[in-house]
Amino acid sequence: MTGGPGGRAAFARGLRLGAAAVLGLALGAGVAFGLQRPPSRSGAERAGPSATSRVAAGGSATLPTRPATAPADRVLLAWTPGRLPAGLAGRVRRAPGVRAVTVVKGGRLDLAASADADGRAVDRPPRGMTIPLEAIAFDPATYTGFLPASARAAFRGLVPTEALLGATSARLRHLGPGGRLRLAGGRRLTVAGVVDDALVGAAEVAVSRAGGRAVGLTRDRYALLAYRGGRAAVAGAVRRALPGGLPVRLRGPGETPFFRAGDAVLPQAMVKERFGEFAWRPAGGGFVQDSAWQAANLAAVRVPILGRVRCNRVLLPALAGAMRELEQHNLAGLVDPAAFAGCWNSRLTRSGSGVSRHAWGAAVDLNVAGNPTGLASAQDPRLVEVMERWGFTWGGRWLIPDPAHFEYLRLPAG
Amino acid sequence: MDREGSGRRRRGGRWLPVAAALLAGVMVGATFVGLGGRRPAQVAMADLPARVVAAQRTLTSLAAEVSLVERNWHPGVPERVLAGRLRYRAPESLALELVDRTVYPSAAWVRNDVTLVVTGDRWWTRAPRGCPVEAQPACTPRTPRVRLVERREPFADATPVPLDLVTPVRSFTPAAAPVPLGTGRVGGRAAVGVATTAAQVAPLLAGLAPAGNLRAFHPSDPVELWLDEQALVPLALRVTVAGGGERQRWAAAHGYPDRPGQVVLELTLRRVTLNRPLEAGAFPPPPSGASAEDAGFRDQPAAAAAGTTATPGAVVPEPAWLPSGFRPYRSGAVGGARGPRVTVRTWTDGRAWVKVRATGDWPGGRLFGDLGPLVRPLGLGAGVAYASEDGGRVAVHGVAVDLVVSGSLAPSDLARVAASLPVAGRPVPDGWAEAATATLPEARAANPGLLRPRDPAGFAPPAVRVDGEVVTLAYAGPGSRGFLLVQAPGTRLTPPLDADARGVGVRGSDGRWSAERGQLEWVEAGRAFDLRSATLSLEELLAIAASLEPA
Repeated sequence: MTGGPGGRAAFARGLRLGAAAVLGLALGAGVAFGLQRPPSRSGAERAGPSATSRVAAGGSATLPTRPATAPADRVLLAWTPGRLPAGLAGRVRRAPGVRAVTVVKGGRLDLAASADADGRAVDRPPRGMTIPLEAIAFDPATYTGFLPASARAAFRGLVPTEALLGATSARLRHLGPGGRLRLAGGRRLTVAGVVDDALVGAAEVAVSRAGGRAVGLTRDRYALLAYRGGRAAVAGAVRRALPGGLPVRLRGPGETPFFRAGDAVLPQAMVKERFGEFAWRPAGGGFVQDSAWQAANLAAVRVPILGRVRCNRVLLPALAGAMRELEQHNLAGLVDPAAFAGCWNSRLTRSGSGVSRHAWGAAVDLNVAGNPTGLASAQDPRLVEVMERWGFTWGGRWLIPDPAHFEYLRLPAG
Repeated sequence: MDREGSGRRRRGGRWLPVAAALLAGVMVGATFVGLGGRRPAQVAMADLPARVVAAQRTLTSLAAEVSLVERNWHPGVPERVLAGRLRYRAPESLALELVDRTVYPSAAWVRNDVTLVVTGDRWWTRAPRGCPVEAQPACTPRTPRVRLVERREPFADATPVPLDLVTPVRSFTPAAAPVPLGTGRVGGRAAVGVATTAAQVAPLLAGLAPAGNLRAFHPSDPVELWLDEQALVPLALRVTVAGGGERQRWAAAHGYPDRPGQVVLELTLRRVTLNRPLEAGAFPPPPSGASAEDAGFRDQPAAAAAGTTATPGAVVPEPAWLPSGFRPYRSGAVGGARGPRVTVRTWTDGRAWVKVRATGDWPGGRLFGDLGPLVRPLGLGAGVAYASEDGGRVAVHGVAVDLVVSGSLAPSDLARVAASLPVAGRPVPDGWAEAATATLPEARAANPGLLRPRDPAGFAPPAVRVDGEVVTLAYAGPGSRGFLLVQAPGTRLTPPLDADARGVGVRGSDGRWSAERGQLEWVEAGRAFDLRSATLSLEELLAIAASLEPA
């Protein structure tokens, strides 16, 4: 990474300083999320006090409430649609002011089964099905420099057959340290610890880079940069390091709740908290979901304007409320029922890098005819305003605009 | 391409911007102050907003040539040049046609030719669809998008006429008087100049981009605006890149290679003629074959909308007061199939207008008229009305009727129109969004840990709304100033809605600021705070946040 002792010293200094700044990531990190209420079912309780034992051994799973940030050090998240271009980290690392860079790989792991530390089965998907997990693979040599000192040991000590679970994931999984994950294909991971969501970009599973190679996590998803000086200069360096035509999203501390790719939407673990967790299997170019999950979570009902829709039960009140408000305000004409492209659709995202929120029935596509992905919005701003008030986030502001897409973000305002 | 040649180009490239800047400065300076013209003199301009509002009433038509120079839209296209014409006939016929004369690097780039034509009940545009700057030029479809809307409501928000291009009424509010630059000549006309910001003239800038893909400007960017001294029509506008780290970061996030002090937009109107007949074809028809959207407005005689003939639904009563010279313009009705039937009447004396919308079918939940989250009560004799934060709308909740008054008049005049309606305004029901549902002591008792600003200077005691664990304090101040403070349980903010969300320090925490929404958010002691205002600056909101103390 650096060319000699001086470089190593500078790098180490950068890591130290970067780490101090990244402590900001942990500020306010709690187990509950955002403005939402936690689920009534507490997986953490079932996981028991051992849930953080491994982390506690390396320091403390409870992060400081206020990081010891150094004013001269700053951290920047950079991600591009689909994946980071090859060689980005090396090019950015040479930019003036950049002290350290780490690239985080990410992707989907298919969970075939799990068991707790005592060997009792926990996850048992229907035969032939797996549970999609959002996972990251980090480089222990560089990633730990972006972590608070208290958490580094847990990450550094991870062997390729071990994994860390984010706190939300642990609640969902009902697993703690010592738990076992069996992936499709037979690979097994042992849960080494449970860490705050902010430390793993709210991923469900985190493994080391070596562990990631073994389970197929090879796609560079985002980079963290520690830098000194002006942010604009670093942002410019990142842009110059990208191939032409590739948009990039840059975020600093406080701007987004988690440093992760696709930070405009809820992480998958939080989507599962609200909309349930399903198992599925590939079929005919798409996926077939667990019928029990479908029966418990999906409902087909009539809503104003759109007519009959099949969505997640949790989403329906907000969707119906938004459509009803449009109708009551004489704004029904802003939604073309013929250009409604549906709600529930069991599939991956277009880039193939993750599970579409449509698979949970947690998003709708409105007015698709005039709002193709990649182009500026043709939606009426009043439609966007009403949908946002009812708790949806709008794809029209995304890095690659998807102006037809409205996705659950939070409970309706007011 | 030989290396030596490249080197020459690089050396030349270093000096070229300097030379270009020098040349641009000379040209712009000459344009703005007039070569050989008299030296700008400082003039008192505190009354300019009122003069702009008043001036619109003297304007019946305008014709002008328009030139537009835009810089840094894309790193590969440092400058774009558009030229065309602007035509206006009172009260709401306008045509803006711009032809892109930019020399692009290759034929792959799609020209940003833009047409917007509004003729009363018809509104149409033709322009390329925008797409991310980074993905240019490949992402822009080669076929422009044509949008045609018919049966348009008069002065409709959804299909707006960019009237601020003609008289920048919405760009000048009494709460934000501009800084005078003096007087001079622009294009041979006597002009008065003001220094303002992109945030303040946003309605005018928005008028330049009814469609197409012009670049964005930072709200703090200084704007030099020169208005016709008599008619107060915009003659020239120049947007300069503001300094500061935040501005640089914003540019970097957008991929704009902006430099502080660089002029990134120049708009000039030439050969301006006012109040003369326009040529035939001033407002061209839409392309043949364009499919039309039906906006649903049905014109009716004023007598029908006024209820003097048998018509269904609510009627719009005659205001007892309108500014002198106002006469009835279009009237009619919209909606009624699945939503409320809304009756509409409008009045105008030329460029200035007033609209009253009324319905007897309002389902409630919030005030009729899209006033926004922060409203302020207005005493209307024996009744009450509610004004939007900017004063541009006044709603009245009456017995069996809900009304909203809007228009291009000063807020005080809109309130006067509302007060003259023969409808007794009632307070909104407790269940409506705008209702105060509790007192501060009640909210404090129900929500231990509740914070409130420490004596915000100039603001009245707050209206308090409690929805379970969510507490909203609404503060109204002088003029249109006001803010909302929403507190709710939470340990983490939601993912950002805006690409431009910016991290800021708030009360010792990492917070988030969205300039687009005027929203400051942070988490503190298990509560998520949302401080919002359309009229207060970030610095003012940070000061309010810093003053929070137990309620």
